Amino acid sequence: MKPVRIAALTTIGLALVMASTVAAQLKSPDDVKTGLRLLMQVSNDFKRQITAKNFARVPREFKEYTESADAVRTAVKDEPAAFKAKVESSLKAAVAAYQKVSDMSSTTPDADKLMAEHAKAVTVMNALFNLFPPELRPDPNAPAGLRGAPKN
Amino acid sequence: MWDRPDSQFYWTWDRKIASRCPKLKHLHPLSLRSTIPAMPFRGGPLRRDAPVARRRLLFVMLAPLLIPLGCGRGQKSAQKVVDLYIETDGDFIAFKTDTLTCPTGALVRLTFHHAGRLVTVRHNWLLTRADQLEALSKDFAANDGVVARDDPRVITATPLCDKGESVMVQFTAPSPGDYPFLCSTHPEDMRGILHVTK
Repeated sequence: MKPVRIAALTTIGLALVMASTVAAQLKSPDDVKTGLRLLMQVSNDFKRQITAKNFARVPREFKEYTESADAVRTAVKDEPAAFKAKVESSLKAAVAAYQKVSDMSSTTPDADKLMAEHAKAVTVMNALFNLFPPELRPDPNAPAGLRGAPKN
Repeated sequence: MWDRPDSQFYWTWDRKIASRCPKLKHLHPLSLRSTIPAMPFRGGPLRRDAPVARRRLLFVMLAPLLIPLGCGRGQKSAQKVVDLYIETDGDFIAFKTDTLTCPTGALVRLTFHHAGRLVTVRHNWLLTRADQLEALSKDFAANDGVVARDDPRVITATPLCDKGESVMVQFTAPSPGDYPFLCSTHPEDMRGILHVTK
């Protein structure tokens, strides 16, 4: 095996170990899981409102999205500054992406264009999710009410 | 009432109370304050030390009014009362416990609690019939979850509820069967079944 490949594999392995370490060290993993799950839930609601052409309700979904983002901020408030900064940066990017969808819903009430913009926002949100260990990330394929966590 | 020594009216029917309680006013068609003193009792208005015959007369006058009230209460208390509780799954769009059970004909007192803390979104609990569920959901998706008061598809519903609050609804359980319930603001995601038993 070439040294370059070995180095790449080692790097990936180290990244995975570091991610699991972060998970183990998170002060409030349940709150983080809830916050991320809320972001996913609201994102799906965005999609539903756009599909149903209920454009007037998209800004309200954006309000819920910002509240969910605040829930994530609160959940990581006791984490190390470097990690918090990464999360904050990704959160800002995600909120900005969804705000663009929200703004477009009033200026460009076109379902196809809004869906395309929403897809971009989901990509930005997934980058945020990737900062957290897999066991805390929401499952986008889970049915409503069960997204990311088993129902009590 | 009876202990006011200087009162001219030992049976008082305060008009202020009557105006606050229209039901009582309705049940008592006589305006006692104005009518009783004017009644031709010899010896003036009724007093605490009035002869027994006058009290009997008063009793006879009031009995027809009070008996129906008593009968009505008896019928209500015979109905079985069932208390049900359901809440949201925290801030998530789901009912926590999606099945409820009650016997048919029971007086159901359902409490719905919005257990959310983080996101400002309103929920309610609405009971319908299985064959109306999809049409109702579609309408709610289109009209922002507004429940028309006279919608025949809705058996009963709580008001919309903000996070941290509880609302209650009381209804008589319908005939045996499975009845879907849902939240009108999230009709596709927040659903469950009320099992009405025999």
